[in-house]
Amino acid sequence: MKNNLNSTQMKLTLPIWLRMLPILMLALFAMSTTTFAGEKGKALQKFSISGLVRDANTGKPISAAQIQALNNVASSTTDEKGQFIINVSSQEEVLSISAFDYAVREVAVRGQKNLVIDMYPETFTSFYGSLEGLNGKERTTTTASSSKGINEFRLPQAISPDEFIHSELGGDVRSIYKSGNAGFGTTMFIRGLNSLNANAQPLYVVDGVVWNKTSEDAISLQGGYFMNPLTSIEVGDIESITVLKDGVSIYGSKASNGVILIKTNRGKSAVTKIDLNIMTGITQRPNAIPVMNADEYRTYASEMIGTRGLSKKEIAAFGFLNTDPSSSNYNVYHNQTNWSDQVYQLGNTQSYAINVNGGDERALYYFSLGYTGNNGIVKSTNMSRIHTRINADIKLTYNLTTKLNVAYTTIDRNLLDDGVNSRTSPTYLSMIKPPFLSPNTFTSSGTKTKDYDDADEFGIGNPSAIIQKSRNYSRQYRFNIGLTPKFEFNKYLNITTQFDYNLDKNKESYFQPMLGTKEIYLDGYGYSYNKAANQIIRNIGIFNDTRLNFSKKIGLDHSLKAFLGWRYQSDYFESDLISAHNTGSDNNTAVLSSYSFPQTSGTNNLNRSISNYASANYNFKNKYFLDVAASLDGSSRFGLETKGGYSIFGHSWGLFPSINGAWLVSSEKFMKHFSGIDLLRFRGGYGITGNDGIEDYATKAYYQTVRYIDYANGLVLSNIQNESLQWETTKRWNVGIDLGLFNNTLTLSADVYASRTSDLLTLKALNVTSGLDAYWNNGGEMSNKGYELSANLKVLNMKKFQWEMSMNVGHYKNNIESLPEGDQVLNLYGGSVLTRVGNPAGVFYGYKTKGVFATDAEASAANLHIVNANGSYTYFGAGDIIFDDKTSDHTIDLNDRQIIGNPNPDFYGSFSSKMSFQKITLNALFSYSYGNDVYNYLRSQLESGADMSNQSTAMLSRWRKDGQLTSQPKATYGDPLGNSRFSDRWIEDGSYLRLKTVSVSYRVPINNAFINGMDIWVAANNLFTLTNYLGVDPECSTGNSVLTQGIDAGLVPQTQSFFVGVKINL
Amino acid sequence: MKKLNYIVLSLLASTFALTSCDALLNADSERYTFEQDFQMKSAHDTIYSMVGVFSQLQKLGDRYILLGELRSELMETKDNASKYLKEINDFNYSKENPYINQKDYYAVINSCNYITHYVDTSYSILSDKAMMRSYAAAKAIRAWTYLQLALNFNSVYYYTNPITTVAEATKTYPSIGLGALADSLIADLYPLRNINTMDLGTFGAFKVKQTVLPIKFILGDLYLWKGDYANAAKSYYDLMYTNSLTISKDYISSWTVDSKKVFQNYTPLWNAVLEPNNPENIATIASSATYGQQFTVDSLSYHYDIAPSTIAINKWAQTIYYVDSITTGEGDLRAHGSYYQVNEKNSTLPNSYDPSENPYITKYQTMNTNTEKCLVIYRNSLLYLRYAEAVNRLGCPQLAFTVLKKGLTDLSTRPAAIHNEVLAAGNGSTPTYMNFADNRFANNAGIRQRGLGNINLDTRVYIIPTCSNKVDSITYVEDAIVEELALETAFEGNRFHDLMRIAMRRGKPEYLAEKVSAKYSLNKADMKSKLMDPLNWYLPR
Repeated sequence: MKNNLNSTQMKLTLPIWLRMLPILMLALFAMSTTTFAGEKGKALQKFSISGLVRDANTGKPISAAQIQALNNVASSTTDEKGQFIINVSSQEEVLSISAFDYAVREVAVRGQKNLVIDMYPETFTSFYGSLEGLNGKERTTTTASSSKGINEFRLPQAISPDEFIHSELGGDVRSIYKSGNAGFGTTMFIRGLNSLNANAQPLYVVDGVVWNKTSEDAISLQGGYFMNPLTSIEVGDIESITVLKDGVSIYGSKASNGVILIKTNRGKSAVTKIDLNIMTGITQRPNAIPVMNADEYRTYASEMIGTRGLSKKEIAAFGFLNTDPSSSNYNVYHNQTNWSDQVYQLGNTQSYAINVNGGDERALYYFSLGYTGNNGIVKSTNMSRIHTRINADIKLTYNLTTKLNVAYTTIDRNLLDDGVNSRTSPTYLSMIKPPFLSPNTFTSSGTKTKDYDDADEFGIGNPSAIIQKSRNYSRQYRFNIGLTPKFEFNKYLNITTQFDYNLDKNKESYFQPMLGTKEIYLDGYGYSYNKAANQIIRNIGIFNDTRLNFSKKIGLDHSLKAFLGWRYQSDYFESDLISAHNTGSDNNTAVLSSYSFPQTSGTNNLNRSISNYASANYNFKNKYFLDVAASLDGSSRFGLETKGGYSIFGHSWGLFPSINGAWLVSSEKFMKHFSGIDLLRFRGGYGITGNDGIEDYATKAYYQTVRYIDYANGLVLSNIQNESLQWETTKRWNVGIDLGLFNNTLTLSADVYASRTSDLLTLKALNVTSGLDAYWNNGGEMSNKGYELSANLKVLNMKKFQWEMSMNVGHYKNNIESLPEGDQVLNLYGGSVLTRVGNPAGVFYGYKTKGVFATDAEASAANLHIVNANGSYTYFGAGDIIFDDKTSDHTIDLNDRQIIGNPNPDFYGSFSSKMSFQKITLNALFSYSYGNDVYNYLRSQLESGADMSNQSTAMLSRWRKDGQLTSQPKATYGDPLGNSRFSDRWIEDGSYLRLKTVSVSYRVPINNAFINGMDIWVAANNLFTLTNYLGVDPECSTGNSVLTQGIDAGLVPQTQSFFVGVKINL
Repeated sequence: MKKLNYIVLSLLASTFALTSCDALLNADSERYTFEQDFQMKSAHDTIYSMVGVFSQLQKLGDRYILLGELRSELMETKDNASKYLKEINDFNYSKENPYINQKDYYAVINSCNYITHYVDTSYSILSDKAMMRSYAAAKAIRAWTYLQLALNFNSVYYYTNPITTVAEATKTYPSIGLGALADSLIADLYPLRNINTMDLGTFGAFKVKQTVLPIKFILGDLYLWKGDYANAAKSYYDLMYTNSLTISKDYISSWTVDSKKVFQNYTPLWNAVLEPNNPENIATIASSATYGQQFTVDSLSYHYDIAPSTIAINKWAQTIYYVDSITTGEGDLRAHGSYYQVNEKNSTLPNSYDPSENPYITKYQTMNTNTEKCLVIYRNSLLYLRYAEAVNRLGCPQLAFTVLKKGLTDLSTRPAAIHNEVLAAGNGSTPTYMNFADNRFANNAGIRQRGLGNINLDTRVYIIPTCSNKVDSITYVEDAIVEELALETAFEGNRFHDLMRIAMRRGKPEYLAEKVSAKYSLNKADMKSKLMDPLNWYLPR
């Protein structure tokens, strides 16, 4: 079944299910049009069941409650005494009970004749109901899916769907905010880490369309900015979000990182409903790491000057050492500036949205329009988003309907460089800028002007000037149009085909001013005083999914749902970047080719994929469930001769099957003896999925353009052909249990899983003869083992007060099982990340430390040295860090590095409390992570003691005299011994517990002709965080890659924010 | 009937999934060129690949200089130098040393193979086989690169097809030594020797022609390494003759001598021969201020990581400038274009150089003008010195010595001593490749003249002593050539391999070992014994 098959052999290579496809189609059709002999002929046996429906708290009967049998049609209604009688076809029937003001409840008959059913107020979360799945709504699933309807997300202040996932699905998805800036998004990992070098983020399927989001991984011109395609989806438009962790084989080669389904609202009924949502809020400034004040810094800087080896004349040239108040520049160096005040401000947010829902018998529609504006906590940064969406369902003929989706979102942002960047990031500069300087210039007579000063004599920029002069913005547009016609052959069989076009465009402009920044020397070019750059990114997704659906109930006991489909997707990504330096003036912010060092670069990438898939869900008596699914995927990214694939029509196809089963034990007759168990379901499954997140064109030999003298272009071989390159394969099994206990007071779901990912995408070294370093290859394995648990407890149910608590927790243990190329070390942010067999992915690899040498005697006894670049030795002395000499060779070098931290948590998740007092609801949600390490890169810079930048107050205890016992080493210009190198000094416990959000809402008792309902709410985010972390925010991520987790790059942290809003239903 | 339609429709819906996959699953790019789309059927295509080769060749520039000079007696590392440079200086290499990586050499070879494999040599514009020139240029660059590999690593992996697939890349290619390599390359190049040099015009101020290494020079070198002196001399002569390459009198540095006694002032005209656009410049590896690989040797020298050795400095100092038979002294003027030392006459310091007594190499500054940066690989002096080396071994030490002293002209080759040698070499008639009667050679000066004044007139000092036999004369002249190579081409990248060639020719490793070990101050003996083993002349593979 391997490569190079000719056409006669080819037929043999088709997997059986595919070869059977036409036959299967015929069979389905035949089944859909014929009836089973037994169905009508068999005399129906009926069981009469009586029962009482009552309030769980008071025990008072509930009248007019609806009782419905879920398996085979039957229904009933309670009388004024709360009693009912229903005739069902099976003693294993499940009844669904709904009543006004009460949450829906299901009860298994399990052979009982008399039922007493307690109902809870609808303020409690219902454990029952249908879940959105891959094939529409399902009452019972065989897989561990976590689906939340919009009403279950208690985060009215959210502006992006990832905030929802972070809050309520925190145990299902390990999600980490990338920045405190509005809508920058989160990094998400589902069920551990499923790739090393390829994409590790889940697949988003929005209204059935695989959401193209290549721009998410594009490198922005703006430091610390992350493009987040999900921000284009307005949260108010969302009907539900579902996290699918297994049984997702129909998304085959794209599904190994899990699938997140987002469903937007559609027209519900012909009655026109209008919702208005208005919200406003403020965001607090962060409590930045405390830095030295003007006097402390002056002492520090004077000492530092002394270690620079400068001549007396050079030292005297430093203005800040001038202590003569009569001198002209005395005032320049005698200020007490709180640079934080210069950079941060109180942020604010406003949001207005209207959505209309209605229609007639021909068409139903949903329309929304809204605006969200945000001023960031860093001065001059802001965001404004306008969104609109129309979702329509149109009935064309009696058997032909179509869905139509159109959405457009534009997001404008003004940005500044963020994170550790000593030239242009105002937030970082506000920490390192000498506090005795002023943002403004002084006249020769010592009077302060209103003009902003340039970079200071230490080369440190002026954040105020940068904020005023920078012109950095991002304009993001997303346009989406989709059409989904559906043709019904009969009531069992229909065909749908979904077309979708999705354009995501980002236009970025970057201007770094010369005022306020120090010029830098660009190696091989010359001095750069300012810089202008533009970038345009376009990501176009074209999608088609054609599916034949079959659904039929056969007799009383058998149900079959099946579909067969074909999916095509093309994803085009283009980026074009131009930049130039030295525009001559800060007023010239556009890029012209006449400026210095003009550069252009870009990429054009296209990938196409096809998936042939089929799925069948069968259940017997609604007790035994079996789902099988498979897909056969081809992609332009796969080589033509893959090891794991089947060769058909000259391409290599991957097969991804899955099987899942469930047993609803609580419907079994014998369960009538366990009255405390309301629901019990066992689930289990096994599936194979893939990861096609390979670089485009990695299988092919290609030539890339290089620039040669002046403007000549040449072509250079940059990749060699590897037709065996294929997807990464993840095999995962899962067992789970769903439980409803003690009259549904306690409900819980638990899952245990184990997975193994093989064919990991790795760079393999090439022989020297090829002239290239390495090529992408499949090899290596890693595994994940973990559990997920969610529980819900109805703590109190009183007449006027209800209290419920829920929690979820996730855990995984990742382990690298094999690596064909041995250890890999990735260097970033001054640190190193090690990939080594027997360890989880992403561990920090650096030096261990054992304090500071207090005396020279102590240091010379230890006799440790480093080897300089020229081969000479420099010895550690008093005040230097004692590095652990692992190799005991007295040389501290790369061989002494050890594993010093692990960014993977022991467990993570969220828990929440909901209290309802009549019309008032109080929600609180905590999120947490435990046992993960963070590399505090920001602190490593603020305590480096290596240059003239201001330092954190921790540096006040630095070693200064012989015999001093301290944990902070001495400060020496240039840090010759590398005391601030990547070591366990910067690795911290990143565990935290955060009150993510707390909100109070009040349903205003209004009922008139115009207003149907009105809710007023107030909410607060991030009120407090319990953590030992020394940085500002223990929750940090520098990107979507598995290997770059747990690094605090000093980006804008999440801070306290307060909101008030009103929701009006018309 | 209706049902039948449904069946047909549903079958169609499922089967179109598998048809036309090929079109649906192929993805092109506007920024990458794929192998199947890149077959070089037009002149344009070859330009892009040739420029690609030039850019890859840039990566070898620093290594050509450093591996060729730092291992010789003329250049040494200073305290500032990185440990990798020191390793080269000490013939003791660590695995991660970036200068000993062979990959970049094979990148050039592989790209050249791609061109020669795919270029359509039958393509012609107006009966001019333009593509043939690209073909020849690629073959030449490939041969030069292979020769560098063999000289530095002792043996090479020889392959002729382009490597573009993993299967090809993981194959083991035959490893061959210098002799077998030279045979293959000679067979490859010889038929192409008369094809015109590819000329892509200019990129900015830079003449692209200069990066195309001349086949005749490379052929000459290959023959010389093989010991085929007649063919070597032929090939070098062929290049001199066809391209009218001479040792021009325009570049003679000279002293103004007052009353034939006092050396007053010098005119350093010779320095200009190393400028990128100098006509004596045959081939360079070039770069620009804006794009492409930068060369680091200039800054290494400027930051005093590498420096001229005392031996090198003494070579210029200890030779005698010849005004006439009475007035002599002050050393070789070529020192002033080779290295720089403060407190010299006419000295001007570069602005940011911290005054010190430390001599540093200035040749690389000359090669870096504002508009262009290059490293000179081949120039006329080297061509004439290599020619001299070949004819000397053909039994013509007098002719060879003329290259150094008087310059090869009709007149200078007439004396009987020379003429008889030449006739003997040609079995009674003057071989064409020893005939300098043509007017194009009229302006030839002795290479020495350009730094040592009127040495051509000297009859006492700079002469071949009366030797007991011709072999001694040949050895004497060969030593003189090696000495001249130092004075003329020091720091230009060829020194170590020149010593290697002579030592191998004489079968005396001590020839190299003694010369090179002399520069070490502490461990002369150790270094000598190390270098006595020719295997230590090569880099680890």
